Amino acid sequence: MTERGTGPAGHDERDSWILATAPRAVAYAASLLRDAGRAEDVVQDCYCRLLQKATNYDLPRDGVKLLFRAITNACINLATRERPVLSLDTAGRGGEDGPRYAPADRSALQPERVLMYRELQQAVDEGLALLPLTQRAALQLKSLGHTQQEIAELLEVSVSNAGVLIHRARQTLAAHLAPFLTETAE
Amino acid sequence: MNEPPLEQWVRDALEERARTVDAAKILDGVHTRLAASSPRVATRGLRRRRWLWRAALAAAVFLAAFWGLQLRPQPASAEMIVRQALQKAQEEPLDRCYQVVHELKPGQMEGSMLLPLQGETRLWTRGGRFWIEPVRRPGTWAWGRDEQGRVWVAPAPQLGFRFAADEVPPALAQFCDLFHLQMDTLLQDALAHCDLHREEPASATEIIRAELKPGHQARTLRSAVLEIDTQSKAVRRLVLVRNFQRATAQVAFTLVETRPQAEVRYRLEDHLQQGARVHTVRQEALRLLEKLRRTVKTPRP
Repeated sequence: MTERGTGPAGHDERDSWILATAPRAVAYAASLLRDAGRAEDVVQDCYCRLLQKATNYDLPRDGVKLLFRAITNACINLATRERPVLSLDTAGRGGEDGPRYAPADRSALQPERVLMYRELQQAVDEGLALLPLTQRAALQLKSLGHTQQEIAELLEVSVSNAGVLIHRARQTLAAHLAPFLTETAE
Repeated sequence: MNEPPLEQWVRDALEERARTVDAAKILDGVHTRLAASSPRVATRGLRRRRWLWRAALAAAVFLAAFWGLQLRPQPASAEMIVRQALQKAQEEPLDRCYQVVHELKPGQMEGSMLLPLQGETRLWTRGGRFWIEPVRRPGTWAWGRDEQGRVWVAPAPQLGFRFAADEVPPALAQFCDLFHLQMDTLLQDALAHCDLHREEPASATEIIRAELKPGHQARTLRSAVLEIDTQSKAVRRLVLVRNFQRATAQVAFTLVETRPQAEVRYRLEDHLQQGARVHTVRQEALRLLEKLRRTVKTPRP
């Protein structure tokens, strides 16, 4: 995956950039929307809008940041409609109640570790689902290495507000993951 | 105790999802969408060139004024105002939302096949696509047309009907023509087939009346009143009289917002709950809709 802060220049670079950034972008959108099919749609739309206005931006420098900002805005817009967002198609594409994402190859781990890892992943997933969308976005952006200042810009909130969002998200998630945190501490 | 590794776990969860994403599929999707929107890119190039011409014209006007020429601005004609509105419509974002109020005559609801038509509705439109839902209780019902021209009806979140583009029942197609609004097409029709009259401008609005020229046909349009923002040139409100069921019907559209919408919003599935039943075979769908129409009181305006 591309490191933060890199972006496309020419056409080949543009495609390479999309290939490199799409997995994380879709994963981020899917986590916000809880719907993989819709997330792909949103991300494609965001890429297009960004590339159509490529001349207005310094994409090599700001591409990833702009992409995540566009995705965040689009997801918040979609999710705040307070409408049922369940889709018949998504059931087969990894929707909320559809098949879960396939686990990665964890063959290097011992079976009990694999089991625990899966439990942890599921618990993290459930914990994230408990969070309000802006808190979820803030925490995920933080986990991706964005600074508080950048998160504030991406979410269009003040820097202190971004800090509050992250703090509350961590509190809620920590409470949900308390059993795992205890094991880790031990 | 060390800081809990929450962020690491969240990052792991994200990476886990990312591993399952087919990046090539996303790239293909982006290529397809960019190719589909390439005329807009071309338009942008033209727009830039047009801007240069405008700048040149502005410079010429400035020079003329500088050399003492008297250039009195002529009041814009109705046609020019509509042309400016058309240009604006073509430049603005594609997804527009209108509040819709209709006046149907008694009997014109026949054949509506449980279309949710009561009260004020909200129309979202992008080109030939649209969906309509109630203003007061969004999410309870909707109907529309998707990117494949398929017309769908969701009288309740648990039940949907969809007709292929070439299988849309004529009555339903008529309601589509009545309630859908494609701004650029409408303005082109008005320019080509209507006599245009400009009323005395209100404070910030130009009012243009369009009447179908004798012997002309403009799809379903009979007449229109356009309210165009003087500054932005955007059409803020339209009252259309359209041919409908061998008579006419009046529909008023008021622009609410322009905001990009996800493609899925124009599809049936996005307006249904999970597990909802979808009927796609025409005869079956028609039979069920007719049955529903008989058992459920058809909403009246």
